[in-house]
Amino acid sequence: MSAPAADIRRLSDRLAIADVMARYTRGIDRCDIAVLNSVWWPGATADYGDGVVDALTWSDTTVTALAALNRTQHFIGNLLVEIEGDTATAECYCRAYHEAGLNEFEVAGRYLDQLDRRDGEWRITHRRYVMDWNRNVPSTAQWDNGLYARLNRRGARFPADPLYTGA
Amino acid sequence: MATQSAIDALIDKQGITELIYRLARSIDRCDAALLKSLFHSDATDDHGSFQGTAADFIPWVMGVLGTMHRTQHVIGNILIELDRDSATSETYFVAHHVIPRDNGEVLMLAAGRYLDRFERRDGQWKFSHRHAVYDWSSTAAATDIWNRDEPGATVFGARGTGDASYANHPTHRHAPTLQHAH
Repeated sequence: MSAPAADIRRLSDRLAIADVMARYTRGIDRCDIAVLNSVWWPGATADYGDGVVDALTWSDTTVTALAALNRTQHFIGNLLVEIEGDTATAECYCRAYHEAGLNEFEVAGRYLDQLDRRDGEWRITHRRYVMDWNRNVPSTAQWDNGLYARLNRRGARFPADPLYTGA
Repeated sequence: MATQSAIDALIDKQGITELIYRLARSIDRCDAALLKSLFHSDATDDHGSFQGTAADFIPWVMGVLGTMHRTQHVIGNILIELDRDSATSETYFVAHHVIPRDNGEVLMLAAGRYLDRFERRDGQWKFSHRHAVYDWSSTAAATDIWNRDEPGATVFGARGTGDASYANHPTHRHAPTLQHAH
């Protein structure tokens, strides 16, 4: 039995869209505006619950705001994609960890996306965020003392993160 | 160049992965019809506290979900073993449950693995058995700071077809109206 070409195409489209999701989280967590902007088609829009705005403008504002926090980690999971020709919709779970000052804030929800394939490349045309739950407590992080002292290769933002420096 | 069997295996694994995601979605949205569509008619379920047919699992789990305000089942590591028309998988999960308690809410995390079995019948993969194994849990008073009663400020997840995801299908695509950036 051989797989129909349409099945192979769907599989490769889904993997490409999964990469878009991962590039978004890399852009956000590393505050890497070039990577973050690479997930949007020109004219793309975003609505995180407080209105529809230009996605590139949103990216600039958000990266500036996130850079002021100690650190973030956007952990994505379940990704369901529906493809119709050169358009797709996606639902992607995300649990976002933010540490600011002496507190930690977790925000969990889902990205509901519309994507287009143009010249063989998938990018987002519209992203909506739906929030499911959140958690806000004093941080119990330990860094230079205690259990994790020897784990001293620490995540950072662009361009200091080991992802870029190779450190 | 990949051999045909390697491509077939990738497609089968992708299909099974989406079954696992859809089961999480059906639970979090309390969508009994979606949940039912994922099981073969003679499928079974073992959640420890429930052991029986999938047909009986569905009303049982909807009843349990009814005692909770909201849930999110986040899926991580998925390992699938294919054997022609049957398959087994081990899937890591972290399940978040917001539960009413003492005039407030607790956030209960249950983390573990699903040890599932699948069969392909008439060309279609479905669950033949779902088996939940629990590894750790954590419960603390909920610290949710969103005002869910404030209209328009935020978009919140919902149960049932009121959730925004039901309007996100390609046939329901809409062109958003761009407002002034802020």
